[in-house]
Order: sequence, then C-alpha cells, then structure tokens
Amino acid sequence: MDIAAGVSGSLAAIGYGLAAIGPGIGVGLIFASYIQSTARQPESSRMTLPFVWIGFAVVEALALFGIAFGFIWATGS
Amino acid sequence: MIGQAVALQSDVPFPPEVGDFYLPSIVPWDGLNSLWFTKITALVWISTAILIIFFLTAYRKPKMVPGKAQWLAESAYGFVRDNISIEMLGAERGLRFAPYLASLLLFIVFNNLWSIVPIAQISPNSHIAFPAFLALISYVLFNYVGIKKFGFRKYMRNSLIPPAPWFVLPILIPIEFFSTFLVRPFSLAVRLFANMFAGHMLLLVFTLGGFAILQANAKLAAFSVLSWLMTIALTLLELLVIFLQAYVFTVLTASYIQGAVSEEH
Amino acid sequence: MAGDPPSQDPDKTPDATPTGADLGWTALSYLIGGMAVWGFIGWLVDRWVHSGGITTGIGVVIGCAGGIYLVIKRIGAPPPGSGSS
Repeated sequence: MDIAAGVSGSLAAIGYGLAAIGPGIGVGLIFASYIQSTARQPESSRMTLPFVWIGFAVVEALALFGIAFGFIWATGS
Repeated sequence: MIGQAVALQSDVPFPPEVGDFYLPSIVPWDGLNSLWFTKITALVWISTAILIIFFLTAYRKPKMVPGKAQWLAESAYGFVRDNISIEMLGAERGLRFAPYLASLLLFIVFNNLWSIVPIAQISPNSHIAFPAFLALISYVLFNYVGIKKFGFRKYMRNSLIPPAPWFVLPILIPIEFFSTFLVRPFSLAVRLFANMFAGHMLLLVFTLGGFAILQANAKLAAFSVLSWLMTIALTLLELLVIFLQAYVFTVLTASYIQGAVSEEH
Repeated sequence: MAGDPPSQDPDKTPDATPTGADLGWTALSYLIGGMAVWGFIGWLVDRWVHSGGITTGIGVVIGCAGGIYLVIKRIGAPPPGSGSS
C-alpha cells in the first residue's frame, strides 16, 4: 500500500519563516549591545547610535529579502 | 445596516468585520445625507469643542500662581514645546511651531481617547480619512517650510542628492525621492490608522467573542470570562497605544520639519 | 531639559531624539523604499525582456544595496578622526 506523505500549502511561507530567524536574532543582538554599552558608559550613547542604524540596516536587509523573494519565488499551492 | 456579519447560530455579530466600522447615520436622513453624520462625525466635533473650550477658559485670567485648569493647560503645552518642538527644531523655530504641534498632539490624543470611553468606543482615527488629512497637512507643511527657506531648486537638491560619488547617484536618487516624498506621508497616515483600527478590532473580537461563546454553549461561561478579562487588559494596552501613537506622529512631523530646514553636508 | 544650553545654530540641532525612533523609521523606509522602487523597475524590465523573474530579483538586490548605502551615508557615523560630535 503506497502512502504518500507530503506537505501541501505554500513552501514560500515556510521559507520565509526560516529566513526570519537569523535577522530576528541579529537585530536583538544589535540593540542588546547598544543598551548594554549605554548602561556601562552613558556618554557614549550618542557616538554609538549611528552604528546601531548601520548594523540594523544590514541585518534587516536579509529579512526584507526573505519577504521579497518569498513572493518572487512563490510557485503557487 | 451595511456589514452585519453572519453569526454562528445566534444574534451576536461574530466575527467582527471591516463593514462593522461603517456606522449608521445618527439622524434618520436618507440618500447621500445618510452617510456623513455618524457617531464618528459627532465624536470629532465633540473633541474639537473640548479642546477649544478648555484652552480658552484655562487662559481666561492667567495668574502667576496657576489654578488647576491653567496648570493643566500649561503642562500639556509645555510638554510639547520643550520636549518635542524646541528639542528638535531649536529655540526660535521651535517656538514658532509649538502651537501647531501642540494642537496636533492633543487633537490626536482626544480623538484616540474615544476608543476606550464607554458608549463612544471607536476612534475617528480608525477611518483612514482623518489620519490621511493630518498626514497631508504635515506633508505640505514640511515641504513648504523647506521651499520657503531654500528656494525650490536648492531644496530639491538638498533632499534628493545624498553625499555619494556621482556614479552611484542614479541608483540612490529614486530611492531618496520615494522615501522622502512618497513613503513619509503615507507611513504617517497608515501608522496611526492601522494602530487605531487594529486596537478597535481586537477589543471587538474579545468582547463579542465572550458573548458568542456564551450563546453557543452556556456551559463554557468560564472562557467567556477569560475573554472579557483579555478585553480589560487590551483596554489598558490601548491606553498606552493612544498616547504613544499621538506622540510618534508629532515627533515625526517635527523631525521632518527639522530635516527640511537643516543644511545637509 | 531644564539645564540644557540652547542650541548654538538654529539649524544644526542634532537629529537624534532621546529615543531615536525617527532615525529608525528613516532607516526602515530607505531599505523598504529601495527594494520597492528598484524591484518595481526590475519587474518592468522583466516584463519587457521576459526573463521570468531574474531581473526583478536583480532590481531588488540593487535597491537593497542602495538603501543600505543611503542609511550609512545619511545616518551612519562619519569616519573617526574627522572631529568629535
């Protein structure tokens, strides 16, 4: 008796879900380090803030790729 | 009435739909007149009236040692003037824009507050028209201020041309244009609208859900109570969101004005 | 707040509020705007040359790179040694 097991539904959604793990952790690490460094030395907060946004942009780019390519590579079903 | 959802087997209109946001006219007119005078219109009029009357009477006879109403009005205005306007725009320009920013913040707060006041319970900002026009006013304002200071060509050059080598500019200029002139007003409006819409929808889901559970099967009353406790928790969250969204709208407007008049590079 | 000196130049107030939330929204709008604009241009080129999605992807990547570059140039720090803030 052949039983075929498969996943039906959108693979693009699963792909995006997996792709969002990394950037989620990355953004959390960035802001955690900013908060910690500001707690250790509050005068440095203004100097380190631009680096927060650079890091956020680079990390978030991958998450946005996930959304965009989820639509581009979606094969339907 | 437009949008009564199909209920389970009961009279509770569950789940709530977008159509439930279109309220019926208060006065029984018909034709096109039956569309505009709804509870939402009345709430906007009432909040505008409250703002105007409160600030007029609070400053009727200002004293050096303020009474309660004058202290309240001065605190509200002072908060916007010191922490938002002067902080972002500098001393002199901050004083000029403080009245508009204070009116904007308080108007949004009073309109949003209706979403947790009993009997009213819907914020006019959950219809896209009101945030859209507030965002339009802010959009015209920051562009006008920038153009008046620099002239049209120099303002466009300041805001569209980033400090980058000339050969990557063709890639960057469409992005800058899109981000500055299209995304800013749109995101201002949609941020406020979506927060108010979603908050009202959440409250509707948990309130009507409690009733729907009761009507479907009376033995599950414990879950109904749980649903109503969630409603109370979400009402407190909604209180936070009300003030936060008004603050973010005003701060972003001030930031756009500051960006329009700053000398880049 | 109470003890702050007024800003020196009326037009040079720093862009970062104590929360920096407006910088965050700007960074996000550059990223998403870059991908949207160049993804749209890439999609138009795609319909013109019938390449089946490749040029859309290339457009999205170019837009993302442009967005990151804009974030670094507009909001990022000037190189160290060019004066303190």
